[in-house]
Amino acid sequence: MGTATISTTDVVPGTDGEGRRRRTAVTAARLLGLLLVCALLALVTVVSVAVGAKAIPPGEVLRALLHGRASVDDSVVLDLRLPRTLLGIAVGAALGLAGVLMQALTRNPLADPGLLGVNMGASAAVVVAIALWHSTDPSFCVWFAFAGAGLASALVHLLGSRGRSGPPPVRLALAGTAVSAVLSALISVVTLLRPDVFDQFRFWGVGSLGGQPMSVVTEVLPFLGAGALLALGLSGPLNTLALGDDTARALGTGVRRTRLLGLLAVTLLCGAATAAVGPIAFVGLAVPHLARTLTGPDHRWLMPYAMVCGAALLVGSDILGRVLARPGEIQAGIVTAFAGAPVFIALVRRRRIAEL
Amino acid sequence: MTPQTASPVPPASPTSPASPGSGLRSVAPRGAVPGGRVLRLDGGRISLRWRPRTAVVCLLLTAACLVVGALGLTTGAYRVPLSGVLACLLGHGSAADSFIVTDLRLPRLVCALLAGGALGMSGAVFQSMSRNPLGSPDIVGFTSGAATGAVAQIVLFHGGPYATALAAMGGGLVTALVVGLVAAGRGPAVGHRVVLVGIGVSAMLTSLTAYLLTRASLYEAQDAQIWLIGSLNSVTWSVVAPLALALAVLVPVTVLCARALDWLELGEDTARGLGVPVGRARLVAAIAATALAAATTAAVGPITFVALAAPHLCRPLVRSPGALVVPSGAMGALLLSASDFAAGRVLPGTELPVGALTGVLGGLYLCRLLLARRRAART
Amino acid sequence: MPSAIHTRPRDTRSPLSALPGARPSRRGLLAGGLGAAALLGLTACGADDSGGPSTAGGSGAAGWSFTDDRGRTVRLSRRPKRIAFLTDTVGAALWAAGLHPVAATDSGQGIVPAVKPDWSGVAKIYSADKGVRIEALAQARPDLLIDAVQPDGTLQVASQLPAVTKIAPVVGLSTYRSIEQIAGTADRLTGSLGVRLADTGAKTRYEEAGSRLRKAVAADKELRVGFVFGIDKNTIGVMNPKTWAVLKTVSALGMRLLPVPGGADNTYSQAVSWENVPSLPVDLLVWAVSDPLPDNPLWKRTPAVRAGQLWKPDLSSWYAYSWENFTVLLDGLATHVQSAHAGVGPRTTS
Repeated sequence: MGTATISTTDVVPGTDGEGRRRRTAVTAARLLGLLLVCALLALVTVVSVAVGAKAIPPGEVLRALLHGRASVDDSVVLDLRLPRTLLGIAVGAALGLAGVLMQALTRNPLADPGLLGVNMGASAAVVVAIALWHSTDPSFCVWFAFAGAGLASALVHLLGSRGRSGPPPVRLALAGTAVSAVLSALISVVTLLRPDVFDQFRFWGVGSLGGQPMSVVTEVLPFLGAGALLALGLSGPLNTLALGDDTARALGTGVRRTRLLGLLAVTLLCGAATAAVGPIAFVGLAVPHLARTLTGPDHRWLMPYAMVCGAALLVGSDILGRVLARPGEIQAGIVTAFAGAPVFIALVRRRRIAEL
Repeated sequence: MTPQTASPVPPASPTSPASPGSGLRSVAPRGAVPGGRVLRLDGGRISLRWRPRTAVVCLLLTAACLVVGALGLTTGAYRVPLSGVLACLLGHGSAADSFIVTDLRLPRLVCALLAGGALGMSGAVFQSMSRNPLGSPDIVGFTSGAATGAVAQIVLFHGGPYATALAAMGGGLVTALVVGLVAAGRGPAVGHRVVLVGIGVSAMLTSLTAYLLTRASLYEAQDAQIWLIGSLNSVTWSVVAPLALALAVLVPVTVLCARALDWLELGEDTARGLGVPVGRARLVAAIAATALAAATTAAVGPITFVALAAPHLCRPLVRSPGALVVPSGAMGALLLSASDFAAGRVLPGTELPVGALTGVLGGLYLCRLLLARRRAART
Repeated sequence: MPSAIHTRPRDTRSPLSALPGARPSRRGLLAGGLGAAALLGLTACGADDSGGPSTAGGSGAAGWSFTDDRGRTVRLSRRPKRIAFLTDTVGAALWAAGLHPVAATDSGQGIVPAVKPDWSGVAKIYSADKGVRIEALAQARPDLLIDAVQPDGTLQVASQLPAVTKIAPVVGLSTYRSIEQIAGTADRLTGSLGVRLADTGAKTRYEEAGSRLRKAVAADKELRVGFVFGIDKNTIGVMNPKTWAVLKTVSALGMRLLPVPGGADNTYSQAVSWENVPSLPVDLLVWAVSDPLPDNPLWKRTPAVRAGQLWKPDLSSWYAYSWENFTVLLDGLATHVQSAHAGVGPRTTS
């Protein structure tokens, strides 16, 4: 954050005093906006604990939160709704943030964190774990998924990097596409040929917040935290990187170092998120665009907005999935797109397109 | 891969014709004006540019397709001697051999070549048009629309295979149209907006497909899934004929569009300055490429990655800027027919759907190209 | 997959078989799952069976004919000797009845191995796109094909029917019936093909097991039984009694099954969120898939589970429709019904 930052939209013509006043006004508006989005997230969080596939009166929900697991209803609140809400906030924020990073690093609006091979790497590792060890234990699969995500993104980075100049965006995108394609094809070959493996894998193959014990939340939280800190620390260098590699270099940003650290942060964030809930696609792709229409391209604002928006979108989708299909549920991974896409399209249409 | 210094996919630089900050500038060519020799027909009203290297690459790819085809026709689980295959092709084989060679293997091969070619061309057009190396017909929501159409037909209307093909085509085209209309508007960023709206619409449609499948009865769901796998196993002449007919119209249109696209890659302003009707050229190219994808999807279901990979696989071979529509088509045909050949034979006792292999073959080849370039850059 | 493009080719291509009726998992749906495990036989529908037997020429007094579950009669000039099974479920029933084919499918879901077939000299014709390898089938030179019939009366092989009927005529057997009907038709077919039953006592033992279960059920008429399986991490599925051969069989013996509201006769199951699982009005739960028992905290809170009224049978016996496998199944159910008590579960769903 300490690096010199230049924001492309903050440069306001006019006298110095006038410019400073406007900048202050813009900052105030963004701060207010951030508070509003946070309030939305808080509301969604409360609803997520209070509402579900089973109708439980608010008094009972409160009693469960305060006094523990006396009845089945208490267990529903504490063992099902609370972990999935926390998981939704953590994972949604991580995916939103990772999406911002990925689009900035590749300078491609179609880039989502999956492009680094994270989703496919994690899925392939889980398929291998199931095929060889027949294990579906969440706390076993988490580590496999994490290792797979790390390996795949390292491979993508290796393929996409060139000499000492760091991975140019296009090459990185192509490397990610190639590795993801190979891994996904391998997954489909294994699951086609081994229906028993598929039987187990389907529990994991669609992102869903439910059914994970609290222990999974605590297992992935350190990784998510580390990734988030790293990412937020890169917001300044990413702003200069947006001006092009040469300009960034001239301004004293370590281009190669920024890319490397950025990819490390994406791997931590997405690897842990995918390990915890399975692959969820739409959030990392769309939330950065959504946040960008609210803040403009300055990463110092874009990142916190994307985190809060990602969390709200994922938790909100999870609520919808629980309520719409009573007495069953629809996985959050499916609802996310359906709930988020109309908002996304409306923003893309109405607002001035915020460039990367 | 021969070492080469000129990167076929030049990294974006702030001085490239695409304005800085567009985000969609990656395929902008490094070369100046598209070169090559010009072939003029009809008193100069139709002119085709061609470059010797491009022609050689296309010929080599065609030869490779022929080799794959010959292998595909002569080998398989059913043993037909070489003489028997020839006799069948000349029209006087035994009834049993003819059933295998001309009713099973030949339509399957022809279908793979046609569908692969159409996908490759369509991908080349979309990548050039959107100036995005990840561009493919999916950019306008085509594949997800086709999948939703097909699944809706199977689950809600219970029609036969033809109805499914039509529904897939309709779903894909309607989706592309909706994306185009929703994204339309004034301003410089239409291309960017199409991409983003396409992302949103396809995401919704994919969810809708998943939801429809949950509403399906068991055998309908299974039927839908067979379609979604995208396999050439059950291809017959009745599938190939409409595809061939559609391509007969669409391929010439797309090839002619390719010229305008090459100019467009220099940047819209430059193209406009050179007298290219930018808006119309883009629209016609988009329609032709979408229709190519539609015809293919209707015939064989959604087979991914060919459209995305074929242009990238061609670029280092051809080593010239431009949309590379024709070589991409040849590469697509090779990729799909080779994948289908391998899918049927790679495992003893069973057969894989071709879609499961296009990713492996295309992806590994792409990895190899990237590695080769990386090494070249180091030396 | 949203969108798109690029990064995730697999999602559009998508996979395998399905778990319909259940709640969505896109992947779950698309790919195989229990759905597959369970249903293997139930593929395609769509194209109607235009052809019937193409070589119906024959006739003659010494000919062979068989009327299948679609009501179509296949007539051949002589009794067919080279038989091919086009689907696992029907194949398993016929292997168990002693018929040895020249070509058969095994999609790897454990259904065919459950009847311990002898594969020597048999061509494997399963294609991983859920169809049949037609060239391999042709190479085996069968003179009669046997396939499963869907609830709507079409053959499972429907999408490949035009090619398949050029090889040999097809007989269709329905697996959406009780075991007596499925195994009964299999016996009738094998009999007409001149095959001696390998194990003549199997049917008798099945009937004895059936009467044991009938007696156990009659002793406690209030006992409510639910057949469930895990759909995804959020939900379990309650199997529809109107669809599954197993459930049709036990319900004919008087067992009181957990109904699926609004379930047509072709839906697999109803998805129930874990939040609602403890409220299911059941006294005895049968975990009817090969997956391990769930470790969801609400599972332990479910009354039937807490009372130990739970059974996880060996699943290989479930979709292989033979007298012997169903004997094992009915015996197991009889034991658990005898030891279970009614009134453990909640009265009604809240």
